[in-house]
Amino acid sequence: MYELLVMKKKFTYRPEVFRKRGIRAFFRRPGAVSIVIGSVITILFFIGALYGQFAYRLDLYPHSATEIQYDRFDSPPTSSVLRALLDRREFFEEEYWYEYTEPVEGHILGTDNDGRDIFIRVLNGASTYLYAGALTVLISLVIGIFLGSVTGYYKGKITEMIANYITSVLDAYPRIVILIIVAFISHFNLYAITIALGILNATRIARIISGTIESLKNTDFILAAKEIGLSDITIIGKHIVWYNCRHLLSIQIIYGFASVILIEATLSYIGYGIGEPLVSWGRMIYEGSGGRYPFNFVEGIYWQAVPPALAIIGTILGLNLLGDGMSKMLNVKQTEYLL
Amino acid sequence: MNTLRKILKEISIALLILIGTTFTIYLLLGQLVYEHHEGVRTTPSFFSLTADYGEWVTDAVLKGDLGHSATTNRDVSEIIGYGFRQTFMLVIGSLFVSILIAIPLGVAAAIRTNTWFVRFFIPGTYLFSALPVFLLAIFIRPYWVQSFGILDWYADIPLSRIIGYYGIPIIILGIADGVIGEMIKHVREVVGGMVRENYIRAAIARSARISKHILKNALLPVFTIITSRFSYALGGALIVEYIFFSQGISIVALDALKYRDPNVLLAIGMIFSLLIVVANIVNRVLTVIVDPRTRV
Repeated sequence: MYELLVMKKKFTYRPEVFRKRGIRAFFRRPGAVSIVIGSVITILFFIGALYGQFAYRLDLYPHSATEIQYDRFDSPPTSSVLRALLDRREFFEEEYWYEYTEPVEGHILGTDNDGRDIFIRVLNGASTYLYAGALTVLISLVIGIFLGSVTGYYKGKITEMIANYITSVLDAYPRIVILIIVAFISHFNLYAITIALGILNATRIARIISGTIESLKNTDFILAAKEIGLSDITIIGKHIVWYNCRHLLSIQIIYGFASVILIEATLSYIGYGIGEPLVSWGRMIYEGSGGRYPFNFVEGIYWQAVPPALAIIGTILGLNLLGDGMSKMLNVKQTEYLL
Repeated sequence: MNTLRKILKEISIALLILIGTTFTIYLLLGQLVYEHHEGVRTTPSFFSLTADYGEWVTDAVLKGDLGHSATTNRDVSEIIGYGFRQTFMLVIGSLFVSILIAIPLGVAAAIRTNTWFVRFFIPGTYLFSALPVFLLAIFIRPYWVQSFGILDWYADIPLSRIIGYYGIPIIILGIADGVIGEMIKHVREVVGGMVRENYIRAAIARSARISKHILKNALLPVFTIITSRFSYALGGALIVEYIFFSQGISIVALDALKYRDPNVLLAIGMIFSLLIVVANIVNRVLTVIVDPRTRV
């Protein structure tokens, strides 16, 4: 208990830390370590997604060309119509079975049950989540900013009541039930699932923005802006959302990305994720672990399910660390900790 | 009188929210069934769906009748009864587990700021908050099956086995999916801010007990997080149930979806959103009890 009385200066707010520039000063700020680790993992995720796409298009598979026998879903997009037809004819004429292989030279992480390289599939999964995450974040930003600014700014009017009602209804949805139903009736379309998830994610952003607007509404600069005759859109969009909410929104964007990966993997695991031509880490885990009951682990086949699992954990960990670090570094006025 | 009016207002808002959620679920589920008009197969229109929804609501409210399952030829409440009890137990148990883990850890992390325990344990909670429920579950499931898995319900089962059988899924649900990391973070922030305030420092200087004050304030963010995370916890419970148990509400729901049986799904969605709304009201009441300043 004694240490509470003798507070070290290290853990209190020191403005001089934020005035210095340079690498050493950066690492003394709160949240710097988690920002560095998180951004390294996130950049690796982006590079992996790009490399997966390029390897897919430029035929840079990490195994020799003689071994490749494309099936319908795995044919390279660069092929012409004729090539595709030839492939298709081969597929029907030759009878061959695909089998999984353990990690060997050429397939550094082995192949799955259809003979597809797991390393490349993990990287391609990253690119899938990149598009899905971007779409979800965009939708949740647009809807959340709209609902939040209406609920915060027009307090006591009928529009505010409608927007408040919509926000609370969106909060009260059982998310997984809605997403499963949407996935089923849209025939497992990626865009339908991500749009539904974006709409469900919008409530957090709406609550943040309405809270900020309520606390700022009667401050001098907003009243002055009203007196000058600025329009409501300028006040809300520029002076409240852009100048006073952007640090909170940047964290929400990162968490939105993480939520897409989490929810899509879960949906794919129970068989209601995105359709087959797109790669999904959850489906890879489902197939690699041996289906509904993970018998593959009992038999010792860990190498099919572990790489996508590690990819999920690593990406979400990196995004969470980045978001936490950003919230600590941007929120300077509170007492913070080093990690 | 004033309290009564407030309570009535809360209940009417909750009912309106429930109507909103169930109506949208009804509209979505309308895409599952087909109508035949002059030999052409179409999905029902918006207006016919609205009329049907009115009928369903009056039945559910007046008679307590949630409808009839077409594929299994039984009443819906009969089908989802068993699985729902299990899910409810999982959710409540996991919330208790996460409170029991998060509050001591968060308080410890706030008070003993620079010890090895905090330095190594807090990054560990980040790792746990990055784990999806299903991932933790499938890697633990083989060992769970070996030690507690197949219960012979007719023999005398040792209590330890039953505790393991239900306890491990509950603990997994309580730990994973980011709930615990978020709770620890918020408890740490609140307690860390509070411990530096003058009245607490004065209490420490008087060598008075501060645990009461700290726990009271640490509970508030936990309530808020639990309510905001309640829908996630329900989803996690479905996943855990799907992986660990052979019967349960998630299996019923997925079967109903596969065989296009909308009444079952509608009842499940309604009960879940009812739970979420009730959790919100309970949160508000508990917040007022713990912190009387928030009373409006």
